[in-house]
Amino acid sequence: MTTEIVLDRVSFSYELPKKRTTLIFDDVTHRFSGGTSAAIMGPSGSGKTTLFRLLSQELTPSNGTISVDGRSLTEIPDLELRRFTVARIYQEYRLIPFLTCLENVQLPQEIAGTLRGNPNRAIELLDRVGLSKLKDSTVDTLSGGEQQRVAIARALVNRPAVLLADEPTGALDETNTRVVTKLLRDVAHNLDIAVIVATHDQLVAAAADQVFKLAEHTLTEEAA
Amino acid sequence: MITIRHNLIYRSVIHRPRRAASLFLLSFCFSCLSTLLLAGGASYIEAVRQGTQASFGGYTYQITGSSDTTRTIMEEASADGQVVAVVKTTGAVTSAETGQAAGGDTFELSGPSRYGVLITGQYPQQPGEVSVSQQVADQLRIGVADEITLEGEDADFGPEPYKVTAITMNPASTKESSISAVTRSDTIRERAVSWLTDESFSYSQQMQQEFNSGNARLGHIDWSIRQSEEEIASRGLSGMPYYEILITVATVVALTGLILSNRGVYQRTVEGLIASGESVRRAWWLALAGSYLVAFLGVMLGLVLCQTLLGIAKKQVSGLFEQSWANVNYTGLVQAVLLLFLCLGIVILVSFLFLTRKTSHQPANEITIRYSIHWVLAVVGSLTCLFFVWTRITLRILEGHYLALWTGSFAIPLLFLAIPFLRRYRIERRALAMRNTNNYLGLAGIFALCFYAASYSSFAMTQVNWQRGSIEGVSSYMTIELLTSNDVDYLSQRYPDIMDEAYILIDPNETSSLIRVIRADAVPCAQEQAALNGDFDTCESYSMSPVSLVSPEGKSGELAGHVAPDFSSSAEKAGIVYIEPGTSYLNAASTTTYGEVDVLLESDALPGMVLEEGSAQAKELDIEPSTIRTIYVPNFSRFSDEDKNSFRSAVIGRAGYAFVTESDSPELRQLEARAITYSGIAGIASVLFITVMMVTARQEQRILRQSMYLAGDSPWQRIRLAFPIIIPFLGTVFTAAILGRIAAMDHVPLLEPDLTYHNHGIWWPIPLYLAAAASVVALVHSSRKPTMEDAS
Repeated sequence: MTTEIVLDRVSFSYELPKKRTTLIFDDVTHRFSGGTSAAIMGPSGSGKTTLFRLLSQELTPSNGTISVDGRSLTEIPDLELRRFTVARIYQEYRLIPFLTCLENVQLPQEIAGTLRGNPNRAIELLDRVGLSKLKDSTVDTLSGGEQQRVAIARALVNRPAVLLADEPTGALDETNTRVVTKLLRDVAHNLDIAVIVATHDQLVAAAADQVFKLAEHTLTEEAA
Repeated sequence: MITIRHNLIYRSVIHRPRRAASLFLLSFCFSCLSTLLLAGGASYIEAVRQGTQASFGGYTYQITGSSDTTRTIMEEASADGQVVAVVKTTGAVTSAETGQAAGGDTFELSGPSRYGVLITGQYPQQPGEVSVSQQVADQLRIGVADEITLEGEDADFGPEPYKVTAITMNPASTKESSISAVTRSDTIRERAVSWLTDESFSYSQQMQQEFNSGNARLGHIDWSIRQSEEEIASRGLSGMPYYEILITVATVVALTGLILSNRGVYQRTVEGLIASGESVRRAWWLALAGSYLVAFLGVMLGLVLCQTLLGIAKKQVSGLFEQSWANVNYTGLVQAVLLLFLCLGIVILVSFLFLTRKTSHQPANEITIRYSIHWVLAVVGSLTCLFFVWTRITLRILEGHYLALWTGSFAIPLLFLAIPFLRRYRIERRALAMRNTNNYLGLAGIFALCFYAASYSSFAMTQVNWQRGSIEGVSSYMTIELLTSNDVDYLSQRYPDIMDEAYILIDPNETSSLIRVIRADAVPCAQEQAALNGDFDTCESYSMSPVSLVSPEGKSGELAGHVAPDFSSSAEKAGIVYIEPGTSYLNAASTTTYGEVDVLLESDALPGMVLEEGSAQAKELDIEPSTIRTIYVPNFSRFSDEDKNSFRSAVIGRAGYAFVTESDSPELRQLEARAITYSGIAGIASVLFITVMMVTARQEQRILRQSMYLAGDSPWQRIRLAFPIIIPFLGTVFTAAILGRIAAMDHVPLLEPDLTYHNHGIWWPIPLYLAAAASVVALVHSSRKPTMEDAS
């Protein structure tokens, strides 16, 4: 069964001092499917990061619901959500600098208790991202592109339903951007994961299966 | 099984080896210091306790007295074996074999001796048996079963030689030379003025009367031990609890600061762990676990090493203090363990709460009042604070310094935060706005602490320096009250240097009336009241002071006929009143003449009037001498520490019932320790405050600093970013300490001349030095280039 992430009439606004509010989303309804990659584009402040924070339950919608495979996010415990449902990668990688690549990738397995059941998963993923030769290197000795690939492997190790990538190529050069973009698309297609990428980069957007624009408090699909 | 998380903890430590080594060394040194101070200190006091017990003779009570009644009762009890007569003197012992001789304290006893702690052999039981201290045995190269001859100034040992049955030791003073013999002399009961017994004689009405009248004194082993403990705890180990607090506070601050300064690495580790699916709280514990374990390891290693050192090398360590520690005292060890774990707990709690606190994403905490109102409040409050300081030093409001503390806490930080210079440029304005509210509240607390510490330290040290005699014309002294004449003779023989300088005062016999000196002009009123209801308090001038007698010979004779200035008059007459003991009714009053006004008698330690023993004047006033003596030793501080300690020990050992007062008293030492501690804590709190403020400000200014750096800023511009924190901080600390110091004065500085010279000591400016040093470090740190990789 293909994973489905559904935003059903979602509204959200930030509360400011003196009872003022800033509206970000207004009655957004949308569906992301597993096996596809989607790029979210939009000017700064349009709500890309807010959308990711809503999808990872860091923020709760003012109105409407967000569900993954029919389960509302509010019903999924926080740790289960972060370990098995929604994985994230960041522009600044967020790896532990003094651990090796393999340890960084295996750490989520150990935390979730899945390492014994599938001890070779991390090595397979490092192989998939092309870093099996560097598995015993500490991450602070790697380049930015390599670190981002380790971060992708780490995000995938517990087979999440959704992968949220917040400006994943923001700190990378063009060569590494192409490598990471291709990798994200492969992940979506081969591992049946819904990959959602927030980006300003046209190169990344061009590689995605769907491109959405965030503007006027809503999400609009653009022609590929 | 080693997991990745174990690896993470281990690698987080070795990732920054120098930081980990600093953390380890700091906790290790703190642990060693605390263990040595607490466990070593407790062992020291335990040795003193054992030493006092050993010097007391191994019996429960010591009775001293030379009246006929006391002597008769004691002789009877001695014949029954209830008491053992003792003659204490200085004497010499000579080895019968080697001919070598040694001197020392000699105890001649009529019965079994239990002086000293047994090293080898058995305590002397039978006449002709003797025990010697290790020091004497080493000097004479003798052992158990050897024979010796004895000599003592007041002793009569009868047929010689004596047989050594035991080698003993005083654990509190291993170099002590002492000899304790069961005498063969029949005259000891007639010569003795001290008796050792396990009986309190509470059943004997006659003895109770002797005790009540002061003809005999009863000493108890527990009283002597308590007195020795207090003496050592407050003199030998003076102020130790306060210094321990100071060390503890400083270490806790340093450890917490060291951990907090690694915040960047922790933050990255936590982000990585959260991205791996770990819960936030657990992620922080894992990130911090390495540092906590290193600190724990340092503490444990220090504890175990020092405890082992004290256990293995206790002989060498105790030898440094000329003591012998039987066992390391476990009470001290338990105290050390509790203290160390308490400190670790505080470090962990504070650092964890600080690092995991929720940072506000709200706009800066700004004081929202208008700038003009801010100024008015600051100026009015500061002037009020100065006014209260003035009321205190002119004694118009005695609690003025507390009022100044509260108003100053409110107004002085406000004043420094309002300085226009800090708002001149946009950079400073921005930096000031970021920290304003938190800064103000913290500075208010720092003002209160520094003000209180400076005023307390100044008050306390003025008192300490005054009483210690550091003021010109006032000498240090020691007084010993409630001695018997025999005690005085003993001390005079053993410590001629000290006793030659001492005034020996004879207390009058006050069994029927208490005799006091008053001003001559108060006599008519006193006589009137004596005839009416005996209430002297209604007379206008009712201050009074005891009267003492002195022997006409020696130094004490110089005081005969002297009176304190308070009781002098132009007619060279003073009044004497007779007060009924117990009821305080005034029985009679009369006038007498005096020879000379003596400022020495102004001291509370001395009587208001001194008369010659047996003089016509004393007889006329019906003042008879009792057997009780008071010794006053002026300039006691000029004797060596060894002589002073030996003299104090002799007084405690010989006359446990005596009451000892010194100008360099334990209370004064405690007071000085408190003065240092309060200033130290205020200084440490100031350093902690500025450190936290600067660390937080640097965090908040990170983007600002990076932007400035990219725009090509200079070190001076980066330093300016610290001004809004440093300048109000330094201003507040300096003002607080200086105002606190001024509040402790007794005159308005610059406006009034120095009527009296007060030495306020050197401890009150501690917060100033520490605050200045911390500010320099903060400014240097602020001038450094920002780390660009932290940008995100």
